[in-house]
Amino acid sequence: MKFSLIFGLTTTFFELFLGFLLAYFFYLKFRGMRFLFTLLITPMFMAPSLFGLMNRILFNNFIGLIPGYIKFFFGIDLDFFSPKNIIWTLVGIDALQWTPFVFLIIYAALLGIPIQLIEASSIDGAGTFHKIRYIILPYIIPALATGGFLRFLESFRVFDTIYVLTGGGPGDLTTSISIFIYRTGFTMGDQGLASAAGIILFLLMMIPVLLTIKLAKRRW
Amino acid sequence: MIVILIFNLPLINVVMTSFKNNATISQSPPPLLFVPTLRHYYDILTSPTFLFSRFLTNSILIALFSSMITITICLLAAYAIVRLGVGSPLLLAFVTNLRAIPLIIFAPSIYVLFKQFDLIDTRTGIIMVHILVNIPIALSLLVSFMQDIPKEIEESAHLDGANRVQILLRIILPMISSPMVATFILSFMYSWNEFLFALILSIKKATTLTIGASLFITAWGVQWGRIAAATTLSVIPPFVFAFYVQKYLVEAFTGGLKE
Repeated sequence: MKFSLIFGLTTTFFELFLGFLLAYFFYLKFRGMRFLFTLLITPMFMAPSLFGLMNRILFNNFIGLIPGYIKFFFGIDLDFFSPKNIIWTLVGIDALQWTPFVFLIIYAALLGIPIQLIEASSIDGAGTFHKIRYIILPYIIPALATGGFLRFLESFRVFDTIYVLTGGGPGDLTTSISIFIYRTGFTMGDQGLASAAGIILFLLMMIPVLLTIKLAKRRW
Repeated sequence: MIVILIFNLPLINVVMTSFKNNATISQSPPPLLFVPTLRHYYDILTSPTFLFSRFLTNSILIALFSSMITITICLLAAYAIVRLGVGSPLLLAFVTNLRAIPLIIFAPSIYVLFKQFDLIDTRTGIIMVHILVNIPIALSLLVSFMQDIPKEIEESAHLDGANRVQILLRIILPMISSPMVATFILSFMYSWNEFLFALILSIKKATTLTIGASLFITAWGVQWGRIAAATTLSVIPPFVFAFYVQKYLVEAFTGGLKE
């Protein structure tokens, strides 16, 4: 439960931040953009479980590319799966897979900003920072909210990636709420307790769902 | 450029690993240049203990059937909602928002239910669950596409003496065929990539590829080369489809909550 909350919040934060940076970068347009755009959003299409497996290979202590080269260049034995680092590894992997998704939403919102507004502000002598702060940000706040909301929901209930990468361990350090229900229900065979936990989670999640329905109704 | 490289590093690495032989895999630091080998692919396709081809058939069948049924149900439902006014906006919002709820909540109850009906470890069972998972997304997409069709076309067809079924089949269907294909592909991808229910509802016979790939982490130690090969093969189909439906993706991912 606590892990789910921390995991959800940190990943959402990182993904929004990185997604915005990337989207702004792409917004400024450069050569070869279309091709890179396609490459950038590829992680989104992969099954989270398979993406987890890939990262398990990538970060593995013995055969992984990343620990291998860190050791080669810096001489440090960095264990990405030790209890101290595991949460950050998982956050990083989640960000790796889902930043492209946030990027896509924000990019679509950026394209919706009337170009005259930005030109006018350039003429008035606004710097890059001012442009972002006073024109672009207010415009894309709905997109940020949608993206952040979706990402929070998704990473709050994360299952596939963690199941494949750590199985909830070591101990129950990375046991997200979904993993907890799975463990009680299917590994330990306590279907009753699992269902009870499920119902509590269901009630908790109904709050944001009802909220969106209400918001949607207001817009109609 | 570098950022793109980082985002695709896991994929590049796994493809590279799948072509390395076992000795090269365990070298440290991992070499960037090596003699490629197809051994692992050969292994997983022929190994009698690891039934890769069965997983593949399972995945294809499950994804294909579940997305076909999903599309049929959602097409009819979307038509009823948009044109015949069945259900209130609230009902639609409720169905489409179902996907915001963690799926694990349903897992214990579905497991118990399926056990009673002998649906555990059958493709039918997994197909049924995948339909359930896919309907909210497919429905919200199809409804929004159908709302874009002008009502006048339908009315003139009605004047010409076409009944509801004819209107749906001869007029609506051709008009939304390309978004429909996109929706179909999306459901196919979701079903293909789905992990949780494929995990709890399969024991041996109905295992899909996403589960199969993770099965290589055995008690004897992890067979990295084979994992890599299986993973590579499993991500190819969603990829091919993904490039085709790119422009619908934003709508698909945000659709349910934006409405």
